[in-house]
Amino acid sequence: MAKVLDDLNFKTPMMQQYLDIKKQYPDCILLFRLGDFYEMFLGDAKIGSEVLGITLTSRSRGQDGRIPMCGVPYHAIDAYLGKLTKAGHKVAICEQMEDACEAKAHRSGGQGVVERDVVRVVTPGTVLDDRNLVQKENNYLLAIEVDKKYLGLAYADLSTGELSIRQVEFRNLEKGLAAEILRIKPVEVISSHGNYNKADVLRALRVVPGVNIFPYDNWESAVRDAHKVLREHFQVKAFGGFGIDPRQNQQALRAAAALLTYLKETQKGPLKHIQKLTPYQSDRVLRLGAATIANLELFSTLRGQQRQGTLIEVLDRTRTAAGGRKIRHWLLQPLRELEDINQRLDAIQVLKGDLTERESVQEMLARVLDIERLISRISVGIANPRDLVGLRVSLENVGKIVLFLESSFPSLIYLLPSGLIEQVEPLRELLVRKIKPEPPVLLTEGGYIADGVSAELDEYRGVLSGSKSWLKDFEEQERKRTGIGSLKVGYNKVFGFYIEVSKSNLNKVPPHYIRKQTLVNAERYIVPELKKGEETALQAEERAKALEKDLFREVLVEILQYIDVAQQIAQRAAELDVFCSLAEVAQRNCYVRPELAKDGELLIRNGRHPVIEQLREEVFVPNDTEMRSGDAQILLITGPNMAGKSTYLRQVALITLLAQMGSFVPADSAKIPIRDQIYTRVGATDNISLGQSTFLVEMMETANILNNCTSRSLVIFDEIGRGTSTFDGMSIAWAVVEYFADNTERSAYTLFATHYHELTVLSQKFRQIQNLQMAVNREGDEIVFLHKVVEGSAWQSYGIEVAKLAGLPRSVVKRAQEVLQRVKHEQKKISVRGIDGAEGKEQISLLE
Amino acid sequence: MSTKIKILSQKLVDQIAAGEVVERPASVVKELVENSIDAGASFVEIEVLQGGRDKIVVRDNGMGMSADDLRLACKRYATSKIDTVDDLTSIKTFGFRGEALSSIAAVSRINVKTAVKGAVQGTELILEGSKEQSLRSCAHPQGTTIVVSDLFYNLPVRKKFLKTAGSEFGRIRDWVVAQSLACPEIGFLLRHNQREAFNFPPGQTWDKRVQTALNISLDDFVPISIKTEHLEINGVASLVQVARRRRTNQFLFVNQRFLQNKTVWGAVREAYKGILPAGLHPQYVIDLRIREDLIDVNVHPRKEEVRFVVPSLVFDAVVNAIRSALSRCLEDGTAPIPSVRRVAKPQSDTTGVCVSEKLNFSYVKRGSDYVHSVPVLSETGFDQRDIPANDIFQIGLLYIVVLKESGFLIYDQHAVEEKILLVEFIQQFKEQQTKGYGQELLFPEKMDLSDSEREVLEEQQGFLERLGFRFSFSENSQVFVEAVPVNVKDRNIKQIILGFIDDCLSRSEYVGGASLGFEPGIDRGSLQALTYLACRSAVKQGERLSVARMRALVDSVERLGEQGASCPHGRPTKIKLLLEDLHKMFKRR
Repeated sequence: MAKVLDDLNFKTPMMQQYLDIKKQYPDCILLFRLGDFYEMFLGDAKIGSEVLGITLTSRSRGQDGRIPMCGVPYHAIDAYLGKLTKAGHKVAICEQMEDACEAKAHRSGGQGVVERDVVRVVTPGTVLDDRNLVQKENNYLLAIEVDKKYLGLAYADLSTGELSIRQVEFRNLEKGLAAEILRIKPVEVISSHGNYNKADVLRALRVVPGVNIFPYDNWESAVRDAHKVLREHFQVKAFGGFGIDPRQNQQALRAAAALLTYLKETQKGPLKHIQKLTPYQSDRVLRLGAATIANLELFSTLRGQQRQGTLIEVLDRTRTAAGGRKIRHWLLQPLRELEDINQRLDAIQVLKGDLTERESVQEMLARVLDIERLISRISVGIANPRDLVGLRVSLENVGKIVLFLESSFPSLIYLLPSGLIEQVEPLRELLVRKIKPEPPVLLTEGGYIADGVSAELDEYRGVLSGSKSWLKDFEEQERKRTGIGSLKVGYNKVFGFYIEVSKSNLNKVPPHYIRKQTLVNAERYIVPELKKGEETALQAEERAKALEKDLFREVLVEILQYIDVAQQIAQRAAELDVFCSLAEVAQRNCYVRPELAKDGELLIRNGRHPVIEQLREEVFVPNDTEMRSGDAQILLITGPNMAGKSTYLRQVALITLLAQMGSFVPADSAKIPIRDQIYTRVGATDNISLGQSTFLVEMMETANILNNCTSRSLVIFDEIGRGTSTFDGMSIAWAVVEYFADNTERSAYTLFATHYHELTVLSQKFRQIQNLQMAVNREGDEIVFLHKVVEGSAWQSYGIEVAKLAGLPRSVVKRAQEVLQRVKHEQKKISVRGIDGAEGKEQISLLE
Repeated sequence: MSTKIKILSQKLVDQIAAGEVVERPASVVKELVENSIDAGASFVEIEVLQGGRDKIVVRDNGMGMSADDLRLACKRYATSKIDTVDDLTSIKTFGFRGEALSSIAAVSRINVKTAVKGAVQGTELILEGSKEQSLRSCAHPQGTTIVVSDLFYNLPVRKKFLKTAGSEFGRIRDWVVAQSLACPEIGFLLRHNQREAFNFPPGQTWDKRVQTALNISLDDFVPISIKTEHLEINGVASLVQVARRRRTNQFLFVNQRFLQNKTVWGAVREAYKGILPAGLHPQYVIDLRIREDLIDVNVHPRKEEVRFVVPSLVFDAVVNAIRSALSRCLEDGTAPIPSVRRVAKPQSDTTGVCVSEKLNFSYVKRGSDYVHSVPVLSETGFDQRDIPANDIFQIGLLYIVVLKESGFLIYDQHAVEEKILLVEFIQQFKEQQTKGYGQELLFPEKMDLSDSEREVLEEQQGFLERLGFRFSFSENSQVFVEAVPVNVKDRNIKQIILGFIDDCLSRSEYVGGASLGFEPGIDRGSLQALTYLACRSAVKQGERLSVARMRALVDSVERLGEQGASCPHGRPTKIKLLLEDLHKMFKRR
């Protein structure tokens, strides 16, 4: 596009102005303000017309001939912005900086163009209005810096003011980056041209479909003095206050500097609402591998990517948008500090104890709007009067919640201490004083600044209402003067004010009346006096509106000093919301408080899978789980498919995750030792689309787990060694199980579900391995899955029975049984002794 | 000789007996839930499809049954709960006649799954019309799940007589709510057609359960309590302002069983005599514990009624309990709206005077009786912008008195505002043909409605929207009010709408006949509905008014002129008490 632009040369001043501005933003769609519309020209117009579904027209621009263009009305811009950004475009918004009449006065010859400039660039990651944002999710913009073996990430949500960083040391850049992208789920990614030239980076970015990737031309200059840029923005001398060691986070800080610069360039403002830099503290967080987040179906189901059937669906009963975002955070970053976890559990316990009181709190929370996003809009300067009313009402309702907490839940008052509320009182008072309680949405309509704020405004308003009464008096006066009792003074957009006289009274019309419009049964006139009165009124209205705009901008600036405390209140109210949500779920679904310890045994009595038990099709059968480092570190679970092995595995992982998140858990009781990582290796869907075979992926993930887990981890393997031949698979599975049993550094609590019942002999060699099976009853021809986990090992795989249940044709089932009998005849026997010469008690057949 | 009279087959006998026990889906739910409670469950889950005609599922986490027990349980006259006749007289459990499961099985297809504690496998029994179809193992946690399908499949006549799904479910719901009040420690979850009706958590205190289950504020109730040598009564009784036109929330529990009893009804009526205006019913929950030998339970096949051996004991106790509670003062504390405040500390034995801010009278004890008396002058309501006035005041929390040179003008505040609002509503209704302009609420008002209430609202939706209301309906019986007409925007919307629905449901023709009047351009039905709305929205008897508000009301009604002379009920809005009249009354003229 740039090249094309260079060639163009326009004669009309307006198109030249357009060109000049467009050259500065070649990679954006330029919305050029023309009166009541934002117009797009040339190539932009074609794209705009396609994406927005509006007509592509052309405009004759004098000497420049016909130019393709299309436009959108100014007041509906938010909707269109949304469509453009969703389609992956960056949009530069170019406003008229002065009124048309002012411009004419400036330049001579009356041929001047109004001054214009780009006020904001909207990109997918910098969308700010509610309609284009998902309420309960963040909208992240991610910046990436790669250097040797370090990956620096910085991601921000402009709509909430969050800016976080993470530094990762990687062995495999693609895997490492992909995992982070899956965790953060950005909508937009920026980086340097150099970084984008790395194939690994590009491959990793494909992991989340629909991510918008933009190179940032100014990357180099932005990161040159990264530390200084950051220090200046946050007004700090060092990063220690944020808990960031600059030496350990070189790349991340560079990414952060680039990100911040990019944001400031596009929003053209100081972005005061981005108040801190948040590090990712990996030693304080229970690490969930990317596969784990997907396998445990925390946010989307494995099949169909839906919300129903996910853990978040069960847990999220928050009433505020900020609460919804926070509960996601907590689920993604469960804790590892015992005290912190217990503090959360305490809060939930208190709220669970009193149903009606808690419901009252929740009802009050429902009346608190998204303060974070409101503050961001104010900070960037695009807030409207209704936003301010929403802010005020939300603050007032938070105040009510505080009062309520004081009387009903005093132990929770630490969440919203009255000190904080006092600090924000001046803001609330400011909003009450300066903004009318029910203002219009658009700034152009006026009528949102309260009375008594500005003497000048009040004067204009006085004049305006004075004009109204003047008109009334005038009407009265003319009636008397002319003797026409039915004389009316009216107004319309075309003629302004007029005097209307019915046809029957035409003879009484005085000569100085000037006729303006003829109607069926009346005539309309004006007189100079009337026009003068009209002018006064209109002038007062214009001046009032202009003044209100300025006053409004002043209010926005005044609000900025309260950003910090308002954000704090928003965060804390969100926390309260999450506690209420978890308490509600705990109460409705009968969860109990888990008992956590730094280490030790894992003991769950009658544990249930939190999502599956809610499906309610069949009643859920609970199960116990006991794990100890001595004789139950590794649980080997056998049994036919469909018997409930996977569910059992996942419920152990989910209960652990919930416990460390600080939530109650679905069980009769639960003792959970704090874990540092949860790994899951579950077979079903792998990245076939990325050209990697199932087995290869499985091995890669297994390798990842074996290399990274510790004795404090929790590991789940669901059917390992499935993607290859039986012998190979069984052998690999065998070796992996031994690895966990043998390796003191990697002696994680491990659950294996497998159909290789040969592995069960391993329990004779290793004390730590315990064999469990899914109980199944055979009644004549039928099998009944009992969904109960019992000790022992299952020799029967019931594969054919299950196939029959699934509906495989009778003939196929019968034939399968025949083949099975034949193969059984030619058994191959193996034994533990055979494998490594150790003492083995039993000989087992490979195919029984 | 052939006999014309035959012995009935066992099957037929079963069916007849079943008919006595199983009258409708609600009876099935009752029997099954009572069994669950007897089994020691801490949580009972009930799922109903199409009012119970298609399916009823009752699931509990109680003791469960072994395979043998399960088989026996479905036979008639088999029960775990009584052994001898003596047991019959000292019934502590709910189910005892040994008929429940067998009766239900006789008239439906029933599937029972159950497991005892620690069992790996459960047992599943399928019956169809009393015949055992299969018995085998199944997956089930400790407890029992009973699925009753195709109720009355073999009794087509009875099936035809079932009411609508909504109506049958209403009965089920009412019964479960009532039962849940008796067992606050047990959790109850009820769903109808996949929609959750309610979910009461286990382990509640009695107070909290009453609040949750009846969705009431205990501010409007007084606690009642009395103990004699034979019995003990605890519970709550409502104050006048929440009395309803229909009998709602009237619960009697005898020894933790929800029952009906004429003696107690009569006693309640007696207790409220003279306090409640005609046509209004109080709400109450009475928990009566009485020695087992003083009641006769075997009265009704469905165990719904009970008889007292000495009715007067119960009668007197109930009357005394309620009466004394209504006049006993409650602590104000930090309740947001104190309903009864202490006026004077009751002396050792004599007068305890309580004035309810909402009631316009008080109870005074004279001797051993309670007599109500009416205070006349009350403080005017407080409005910060008020300038104290000496020409206008409120008396009896009902009348506005304006002092003029010529005498007094006395206005009925409710009648006045009712008329004003009605005129405004009529205007709005006429102007708007479809959706009227309303004030959008910043936060929609949530309302929990019963199925019948929701039906009414949906019927009236078009009407209400013309006036400016806007509603949205969520899947689980919740209704949100999103916009209201501008002239009622600062009022208690919930109360207005509930009251309106109440009026529609009871089809009260209190504005009947000629006094309904005639409005050109509005049909009778809509006019009736407009009067309901106006009445419900207007300020009530018992509300304090500020001087400014009183002046505004008087102003508005005077401007109506002749039109404003009487309220929609036909009663006058204003009376004059002039000097002339005073002279006459004092017999000076």
